[in-house]
Amino acid sequence: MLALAICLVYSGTNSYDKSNNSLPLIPYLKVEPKFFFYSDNHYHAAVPGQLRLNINTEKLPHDLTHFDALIITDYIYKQNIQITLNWRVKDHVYQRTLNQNTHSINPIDFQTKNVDEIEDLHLMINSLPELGINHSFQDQISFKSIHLGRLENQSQMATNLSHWNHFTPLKLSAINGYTNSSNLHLKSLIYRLGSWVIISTLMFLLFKIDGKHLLLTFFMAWMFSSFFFVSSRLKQHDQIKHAFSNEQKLINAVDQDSLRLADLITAQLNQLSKQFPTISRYVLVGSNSFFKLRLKHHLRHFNLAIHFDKENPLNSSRDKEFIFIAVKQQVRYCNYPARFDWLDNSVEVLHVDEDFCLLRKK
Amino acid sequence: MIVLLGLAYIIYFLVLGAGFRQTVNLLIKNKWILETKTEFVSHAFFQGVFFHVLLFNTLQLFNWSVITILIIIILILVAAILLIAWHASSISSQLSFKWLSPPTALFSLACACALLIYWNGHMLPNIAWDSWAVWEGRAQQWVLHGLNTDIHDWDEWLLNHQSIYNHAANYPDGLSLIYYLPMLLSNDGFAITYVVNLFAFTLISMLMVQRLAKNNGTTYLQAFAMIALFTTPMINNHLMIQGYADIWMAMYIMLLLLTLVDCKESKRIDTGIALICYLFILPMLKLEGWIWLLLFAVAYVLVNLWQHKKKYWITAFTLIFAFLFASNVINFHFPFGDLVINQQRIVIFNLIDTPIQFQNITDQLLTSFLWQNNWSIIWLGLPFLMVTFLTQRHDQAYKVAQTFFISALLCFLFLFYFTEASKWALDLTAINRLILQLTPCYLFLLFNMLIKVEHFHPEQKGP
Repeated sequence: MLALAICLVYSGTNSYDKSNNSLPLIPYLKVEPKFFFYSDNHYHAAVPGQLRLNINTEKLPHDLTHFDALIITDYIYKQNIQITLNWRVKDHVYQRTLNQNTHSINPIDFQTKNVDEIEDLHLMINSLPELGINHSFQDQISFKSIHLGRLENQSQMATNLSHWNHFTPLKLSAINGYTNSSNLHLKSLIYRLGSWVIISTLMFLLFKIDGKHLLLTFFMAWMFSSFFFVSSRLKQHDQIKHAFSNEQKLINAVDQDSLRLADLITAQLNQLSKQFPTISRYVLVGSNSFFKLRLKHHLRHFNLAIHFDKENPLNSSRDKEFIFIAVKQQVRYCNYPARFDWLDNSVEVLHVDEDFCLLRKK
Repeated sequence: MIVLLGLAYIIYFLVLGAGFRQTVNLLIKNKWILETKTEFVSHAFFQGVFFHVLLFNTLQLFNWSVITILIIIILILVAAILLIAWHASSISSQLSFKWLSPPTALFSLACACALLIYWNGHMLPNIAWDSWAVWEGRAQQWVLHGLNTDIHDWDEWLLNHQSIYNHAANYPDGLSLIYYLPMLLSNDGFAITYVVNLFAFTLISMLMVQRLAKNNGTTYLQAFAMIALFTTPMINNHLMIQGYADIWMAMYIMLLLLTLVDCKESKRIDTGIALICYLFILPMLKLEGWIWLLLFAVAYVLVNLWQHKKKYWITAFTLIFAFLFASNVINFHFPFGDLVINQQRIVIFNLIDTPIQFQNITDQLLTSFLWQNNWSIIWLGLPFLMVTFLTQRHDQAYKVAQTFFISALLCFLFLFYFTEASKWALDLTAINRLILQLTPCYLFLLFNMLIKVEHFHPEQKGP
């Protein structure tokens, strides 16, 4: 137990100097007042999709590189909103995603010792509409203070808990991993628990302690790390509930768009099937983007293929058995087919509107 | 309602599987033994899934209407029920029932874990990219265009007017066929299959803890193993976000090893047949299933050879053969593809054909194994598992299981470090999912090793 306590609270630095000051950022933020205001002892930021809060570095009274942490207190976050700190050093852009929890302590390394090299320092508050179609542009986040400080002035446990309690939102790519590889917030916990487990195992091997004690150690290590995992899952419940209420099966707004377009294309193809009863195969021209693949998915009742190369399918089809579907920017091929050599005046435009067009070989 | 339909689909698998087992017992004139309730239900269920995939793969050969397919299914179900009833009544005097209830506390724990995951997962639509595009996507294509419609990729689709298109047409049909039936009968087919997925994993967790119990693991250790199984993030992810075949692969690999242990213990033919079923469903679920199947066969042969009197001669002969093979002196050419492994290229039949090129994926490997989440703690046990594999005596079945696991690990490390598969490691997609496929098997071996630790007292000479 002693080993666990040491491992969990161990700090790489040994100074604990409260005399160093912190730098409140509020006076240096440049933002439209209607999106950022103060009431009920908290600052509130309205997030209409994306909100940029520039930090006026020229007026800062202290050297930025003196600070190595950004701290937000009493942070009332939303599961579908993320704050990042962004800056540029010698044309290299850096971004740090801030921890999503009530007392958010975020280590910052500006990657330079020269304050003049830090440019375009700003906070970006982003809505994450990746899942669900119920996103409101009225969302807002609140906090009591936001300031730059030094990690050594924060208690090690508070810093650790800020990392470990960071909320991991569910994303489209979540099935491939629990956390994003660029934001491994559990790494320090794993170091500490791993050290404890290894120390305990060595004690078992060297001092021949009771096996049950070692097993209890493993169990506690597992439960400790699982606590943060399960608590993040519980928070995901609210995220999922908000994103997919009313049992709707659409993944997100892009998917909703593709379904709307699929309905329009279906209606048009059904009409054309009377005109060309022998044609039963369709080619959607375009890349394997999320939009195109979902469009193909919504058109699955047709015998439809997708091909990323617009020229290849036209050239490789030897007869007039296909109808080609071009959507979005590709509609220009149908508007002015003569301008495109590869179309070679060999296509007949069957339908064209602002959303999609249908072609077949002459 | 969805939960009830899910239960109905589970019962369908159970009846199919139990009927399949009884048919096998009748054919080989075997005595019908029901072990514990959990084991009977689990094996009936997983053999039911195997038989379902096999049956629908066969039905795909015929141009039959949906009604005909449904009538065939109903007839098979009725036949299975009658067979089970008749067999049970006619040989009831010989039945060897061991109606041991699974420990209620552990069963409740498994159900609680599954329900917690369901609490989040049931609200999700199909968000897994490859699932709606490929696995579930092909099931929907069959529902709309007919079960026997061929699905081809671009080049073949252009030539074959009757086929329909899917960019991953070469993927095996197994998972899509599991989705097919509920999708054919209901608009909530995806949600219904979700109930089945969680039930299947609950059975696997119960089978694992029962094997640990048989090996003298205490209830506390069993509970720990079950919690670890459900809270390992990648497993938990695939239980919450359904749609990929990897969790089914993981379950069948685990089942394979547990059945192997049963088979060596009981020496019964029907258990051996179950083992073969589980082995052959692997390539029906995912392409790498062929690799796991071959590795399992290699592990089995190696362990048996190692117990041979002339094992050193055999080892020397194998090494010389491997050297000649890798030096391009010997190549194999078969109708189903070549077998070539040398410094330039690796060709394994029609499954793999890739140039050999080194790609450093160590960072991705460390991220996958260690830094992402709490499952890193279990991987700290890997060196100890390796050491005990070499230093301690094990039953033959456990030797095969450990040889399989270690060779699978080495094999996928080789593929990711030295072949074009490295691109799937660099974006942390396939590497995580391959690790997932082996994780339940690893957890079982790890907790089996911990049984010895649990029973170690300071008075003993060594752990």
